[in-house]
Amino acid sequence: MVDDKIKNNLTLEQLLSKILDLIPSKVFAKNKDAQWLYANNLLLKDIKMSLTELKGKSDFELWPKELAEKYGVDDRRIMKSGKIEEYDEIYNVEGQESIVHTIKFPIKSDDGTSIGVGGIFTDVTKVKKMEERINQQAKEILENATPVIQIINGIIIAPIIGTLDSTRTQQIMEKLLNSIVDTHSTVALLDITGVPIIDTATAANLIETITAVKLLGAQVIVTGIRPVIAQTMVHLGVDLSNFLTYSSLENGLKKALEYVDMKICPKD
Amino acid sequence: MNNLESFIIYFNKTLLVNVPNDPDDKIMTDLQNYMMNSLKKYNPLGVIINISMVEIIDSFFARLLSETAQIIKIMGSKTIIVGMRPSVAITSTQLGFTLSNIQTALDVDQAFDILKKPSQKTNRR
Repeated sequence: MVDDKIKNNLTLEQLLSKILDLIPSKVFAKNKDAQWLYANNLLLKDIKMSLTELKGKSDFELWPKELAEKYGVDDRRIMKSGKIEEYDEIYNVEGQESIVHTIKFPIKSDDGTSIGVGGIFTDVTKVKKMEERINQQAKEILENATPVIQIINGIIIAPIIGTLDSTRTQQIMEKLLNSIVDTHSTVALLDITGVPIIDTATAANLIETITAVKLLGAQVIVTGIRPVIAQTMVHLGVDLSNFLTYSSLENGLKKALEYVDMKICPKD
Repeated sequence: MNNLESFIIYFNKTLLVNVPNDPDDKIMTDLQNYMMNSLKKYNPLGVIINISMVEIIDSFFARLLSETAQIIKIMGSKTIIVGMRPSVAITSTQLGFTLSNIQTALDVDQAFDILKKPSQKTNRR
């Protein structure tokens, strides 16, 4: 019944207008002289005008001068290039920052010349804020995933879990070097049991870390080198012969204790 | 030249050199010359160069440091660089300046330890 009514009583224009009013974005169209032709309900509510009032008005009658000029430049560029543009804009309305995803497109006549410009604005503030938070949390997780622990006077250990990219190396390096200075440790154990793969970039990052520690006057012992990783390193031609490396943390620790003139022995 | 004396101390058969904060090229060359004279005068077991006050390291400083170490080695003594700051160490490695031929220590205390038992420490790889 309802379907029939819509079909019978509404023209295509009325139907499209209704659809555009239901979209949770702001939609507009202007002619090539920058006069407004159309805005959907959401946008009309924003500028507090009816569609009939709006028709024929220019940007300068609606927005502050600065904004209107910017819109004019954008619109002319899009009409000239004939290409769709998509970008995020940041607005500051009454102290509240909002991020608006903007799509602007030229409206073309049948022969392909631009006769106007249309656009869709969608408020993506919430989505962007959420994205920001996820990124922030991911960063925090990454930072917390690299603890540097002092085992005994003079020895610290940094277990690395997860892949070693350059940002992470930088973080680990900073944390490790600062801990070495703070705790006055002569030996740092770098356990890479939790590193799933080592490629040339990872190896280079690792070597960079070890070299930096050496400059401070401490020694790095790399432990937890699994057979697969040892194999790949040799295949890749990564030369670790100048560095102390062990397959097990136990052996690494023994060597480290030797450095600080200590040893683990039975109680009696 | 006079105030250079305050940067160099002869103590316990060791020459202790404090590199001042933000050293310019002139001070560094003067310091190097003064260091060589002291080396001849005291004939120390080793030279400890303390760079814990240095916040920024440039290529000239880096070259001078490894040059100095080489000169000291030729003159039959040993060099230990002490107290490099973490931020300086990070930038240095990224610039490819690794001081691979010079010994380093966390602080002056450890540097003295290394000088005291040289054979044991230098044999470690």
